[in-house]
Amino acid sequence: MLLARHPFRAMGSPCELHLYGGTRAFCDALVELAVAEVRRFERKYSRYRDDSVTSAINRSAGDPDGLVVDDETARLLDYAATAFASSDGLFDPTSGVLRRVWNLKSGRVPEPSELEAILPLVGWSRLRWEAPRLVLPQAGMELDFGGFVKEHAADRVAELCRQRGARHGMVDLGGDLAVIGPHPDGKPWVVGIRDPRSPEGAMASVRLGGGGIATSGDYERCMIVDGVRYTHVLDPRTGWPVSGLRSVSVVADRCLIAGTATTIAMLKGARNGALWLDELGLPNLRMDDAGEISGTLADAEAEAA
Amino acid sequence: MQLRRRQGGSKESAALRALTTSALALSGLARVAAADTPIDGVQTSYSFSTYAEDDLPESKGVPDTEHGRYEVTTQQARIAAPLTDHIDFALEVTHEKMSGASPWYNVPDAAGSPIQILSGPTIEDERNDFLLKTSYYLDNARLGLSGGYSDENDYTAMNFGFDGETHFNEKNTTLSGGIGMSFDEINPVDAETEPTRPTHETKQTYGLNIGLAQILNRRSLIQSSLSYAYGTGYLSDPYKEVYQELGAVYHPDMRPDNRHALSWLTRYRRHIEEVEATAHLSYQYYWDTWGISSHTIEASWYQSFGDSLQITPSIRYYTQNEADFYVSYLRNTPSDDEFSSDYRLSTYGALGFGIKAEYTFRTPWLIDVEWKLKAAYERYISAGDLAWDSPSVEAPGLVDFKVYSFGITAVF
Repeated sequence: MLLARHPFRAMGSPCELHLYGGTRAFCDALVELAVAEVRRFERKYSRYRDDSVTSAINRSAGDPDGLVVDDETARLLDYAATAFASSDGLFDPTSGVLRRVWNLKSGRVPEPSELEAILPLVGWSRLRWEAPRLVLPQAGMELDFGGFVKEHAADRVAELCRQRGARHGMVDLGGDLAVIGPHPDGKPWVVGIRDPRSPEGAMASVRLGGGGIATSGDYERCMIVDGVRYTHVLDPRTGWPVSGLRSVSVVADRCLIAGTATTIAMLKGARNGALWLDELGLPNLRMDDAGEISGTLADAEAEAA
Repeated sequence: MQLRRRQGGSKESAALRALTTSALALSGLARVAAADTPIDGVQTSYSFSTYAEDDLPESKGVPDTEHGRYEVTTQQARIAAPLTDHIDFALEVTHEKMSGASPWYNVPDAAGSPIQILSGPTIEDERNDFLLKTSYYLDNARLGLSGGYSDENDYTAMNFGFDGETHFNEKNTTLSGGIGMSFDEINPVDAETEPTRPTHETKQTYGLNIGLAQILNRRSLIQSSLSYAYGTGYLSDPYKEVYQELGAVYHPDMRPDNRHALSWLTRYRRHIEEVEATAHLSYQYYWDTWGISSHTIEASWYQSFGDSLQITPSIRYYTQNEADFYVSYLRNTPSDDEFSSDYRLSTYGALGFGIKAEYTFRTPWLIDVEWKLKAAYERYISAGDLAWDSPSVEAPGLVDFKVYSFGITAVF
């Protein structure tokens, strides 16, 4: 068996496909297929492309008739609705509009009046989703699939590879990982979890024989103003960045679920996030603002050491 | 190091369950109970099977040692392909070759026990069957239409069907239903020389079914369906007779000219991840206005070995009680005008054992093709004593048989 490693860039992140196959041709064919599938998701849900589904949805904002979406998008919206309901409204794909006032590159903290003006555009409960019709009643509302489509794409690509006969491999879409199958000798993949304060170092390693892992951290995009760290993780209810956790990693049967769990935990903050992850019962690793590492994966690491 | 999960056994949080269900709807996994898109790619398959009945034991009748009992070899070719984003079709052509002796009537031996007499001239017949099916897929539903034609020497049949299914409850629930009908024409051979045989008869059969499938959780699925069938016309078997002891009279097989039948089938499927296997269990209850009721219990174990090989052993038990008008033979002139000594209408039980192996591989070179090789063996034995309520007199013609089958499928 030979191992093909194919790094590429997609969805604004470095991605890599690790794939074992019997022949070079088999690996090449699958790599091509997998990359095409990632690009398909990227094209379909990009905020930056006029011809994307996301843009079509956002253009429809204010139109009382809304628009009819395709089956795949419908299922993603169903998933978002479930995640919204399961997180007391913290997981909210309409919160992306807050980026208009939180420009992390500007180094400027928005005025309360700016936030007040934009908050009426935020809230999954403000939109009407009755499959297959989606209505964003307010002009200016926006939907962003960015919070979960990459994780879903990782799962989909892993599934596609398995359907096409791959047994051993891993899909890494910018740190959102879905395992196709363990190494050919049955050994799990060893995944390093980045230290939020020294992005080149790993704070822990996780063994993954199946399923997926996702990590959310405040190191990804943030700004520091007057010594205060403002992260890209924005509470849809207040419009303010949340703090408490620097990084959360979750292992689940699917990368999508892992990703949703990390997002919700980050939004819930150090204490409630930890409680929520415990309640979910998913293996996790957290680093709080004080640099303290905790979570079931940290315990396991400590046990192994 | 093993990952420790804190979800001690079955205690999964409600939030995780909700997310998992919703995430599964996004993936192909949920499609176990839901088909909402046409098949991908062109599927072609060919299968071959031989069905051979064991010779009649000498205690039960006079075996036809030269030709043996009934044998059928079946060849089937099938092609299925998507036509558009919403439509696919399948065409199936079946050729069957039947030969051998089959039960004709029973006569009493010295002690009065029935002895099976097999048809004198050996049956030799061929059957060709064509079936065309098309499905139309909507966002959350499938509609299907089918038509078939079957032709053999003494029998032609035309059938039509319409069926559909729809999903709701985030595709965790599938409701399905269908109607079907068949128009058959029977022109028995040797009607001139066999006084009990009609020259031309017809029968019509209509069916209706409704089913519900529910995904219980990520690993298990339950399906239940209810079917009703109504047959009218000539429902007898022109090649069977009933012997009357007094005066040695041979009567034609005379069954009622209509039959209402109900059957209720429930299936349960559970995937056992730890051992890469899926267990299937099913139970069927059948009841009809001829007085027959039956129970079928079947269990199969789909064991995967890696991703290419699957071996499925299965076991089935069947029991039925006889039709109101079943007789092994008549002693006297009948007072009723309905009687049949067809062993299939008697009280009996049966056991079936099967084993099936399926091997899947791909040849991704010139064009990507997925191949499936299948081989299966089934053994079936039936006897009066296997019935829940053993009959007072066992039908001597009860059959034991073996089936060997082989198949190859290519998906482009």
